[in-house]
Amino acid sequence: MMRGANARGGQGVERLPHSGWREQAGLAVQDVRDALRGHHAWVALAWMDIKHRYRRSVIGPFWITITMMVLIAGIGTLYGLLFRLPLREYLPYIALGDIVWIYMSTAAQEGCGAFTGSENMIRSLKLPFMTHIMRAVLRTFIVFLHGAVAYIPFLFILQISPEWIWLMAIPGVVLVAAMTVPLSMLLAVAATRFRDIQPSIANVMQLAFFLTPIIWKPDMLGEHRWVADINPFYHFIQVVRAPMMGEMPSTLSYLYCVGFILALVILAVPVFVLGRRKISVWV
Amino acid sequence: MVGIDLQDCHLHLPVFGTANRSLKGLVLSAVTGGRLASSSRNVTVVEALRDVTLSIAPGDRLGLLGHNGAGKTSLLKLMAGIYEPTFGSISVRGRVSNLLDVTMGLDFEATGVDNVILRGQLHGLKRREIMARLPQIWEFTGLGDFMNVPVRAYSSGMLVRLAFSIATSLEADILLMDEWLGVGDADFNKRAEERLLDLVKRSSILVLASHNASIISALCNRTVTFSHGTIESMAELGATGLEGAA
Repeated sequence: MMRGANARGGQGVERLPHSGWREQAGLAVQDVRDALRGHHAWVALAWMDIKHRYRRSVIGPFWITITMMVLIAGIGTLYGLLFRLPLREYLPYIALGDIVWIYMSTAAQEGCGAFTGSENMIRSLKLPFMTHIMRAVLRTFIVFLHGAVAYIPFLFILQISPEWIWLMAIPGVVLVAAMTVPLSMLLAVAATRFRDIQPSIANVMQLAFFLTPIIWKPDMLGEHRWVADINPFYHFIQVVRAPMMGEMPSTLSYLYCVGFILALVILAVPVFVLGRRKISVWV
Repeated sequence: MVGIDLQDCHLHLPVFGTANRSLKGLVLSAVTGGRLASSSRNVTVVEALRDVTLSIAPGDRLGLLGHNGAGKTSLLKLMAGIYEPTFGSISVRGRVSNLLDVTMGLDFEATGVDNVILRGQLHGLKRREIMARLPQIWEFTGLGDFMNVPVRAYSSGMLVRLAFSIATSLEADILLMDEWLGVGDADFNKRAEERLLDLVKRSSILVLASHNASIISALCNRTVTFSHGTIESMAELGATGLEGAA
């Protein structure tokens, strides 16, 4: 019987078609396509994650809602008093800003852990890698929806009645959610290879919270307003918050959001294409 | 057509120490011109497979032999699609069922039933299809009401029963096994054995890594011996006793 194909010599490391750029891109596209086709897998996994986090708790995921309500009531009234702003106007501002902010910062954190958190599964089952990413993306979205419910009681307390323009917040939420997909893709791969990324992101987000107009308003900056205007997080918050406060978000905000999403896609795609096949040895 | 083809496959597995996987290592080595921290840039790489060319056709029952660390499990993981070759190409055609580590991928917080459903969904089955199989899997586990209890409360034997029942209930053309599965108590073992044999008969290709020569000779019609990540020798065995029975 023949002895394999050892004739080539032990150290033969010439690049064969499998490792080419084009093939890797094809495999990455296939990965994403398989994940989308098998969407019930990540839908089930994401729901399971939510259920497990609150298994044995009586009110379950509504703890997210309660935590958010306490936060809004606390910092809303505190900063309202500090800034001497009318609560009826300021509380919705900080509440909505915070809800969207927490969504984005959770998405970044959960994105970092998309692969490292599923280590066992990655090492024993062949699943599209995008499935793990979408699991984290959807889980974060579900948590966001539970948090968003926290805003409703304040509407009654402050006697705010709904307006038609609120519907414009829906495309805003879609933009934020769309942003979390390439964000998670990028961070999931990078943070699996470099374990310092996750804690770095936590710190960056902490700092970004104070630099983003959530508790303060951009006008308070006076001539330094540009600090807010160049901040992509501000625009992602604006496209949701402004309509909920009866204003139309500026076209610039929409353009900024779309541009930021495209930039993330441009970064995430090569990282995913090149990193994908190494994920199972990195986790 | 069902089959597996490996062409000049190399598999390098990086082993990260705590220092290696950090950005610090990379930044430091850049700052110091790769001198001071140069060692942290060199990630230890294990050459798990080297220049493996192998072609497996329908009807093949391939036994993998070799010492610990010879590359058997790496090859199985490559075939299962968990690893991709560092260099070389691999093509696997057909539905693969991997019984490499059956208890992995179980969710310990979920109940037995939930795990069956989840695993089915990961395998690409619709909920309806899974529900149709559930009674049969349930019965085979012999776990009764324990199927409605979170898996973390299971004994290790019960865990293996559940995992085994799920893993062997999925139809596949290609069966990958790392060691013949020994499971649970005597009573379950006998049923498990029958089920495995049945599965092997129905599958078109079996790849089995084992240290047990008698199992290999009973089930396999080809063997490949690995040594230090390369194929040392291949051999054709006669038809297995199983083939006649099938």
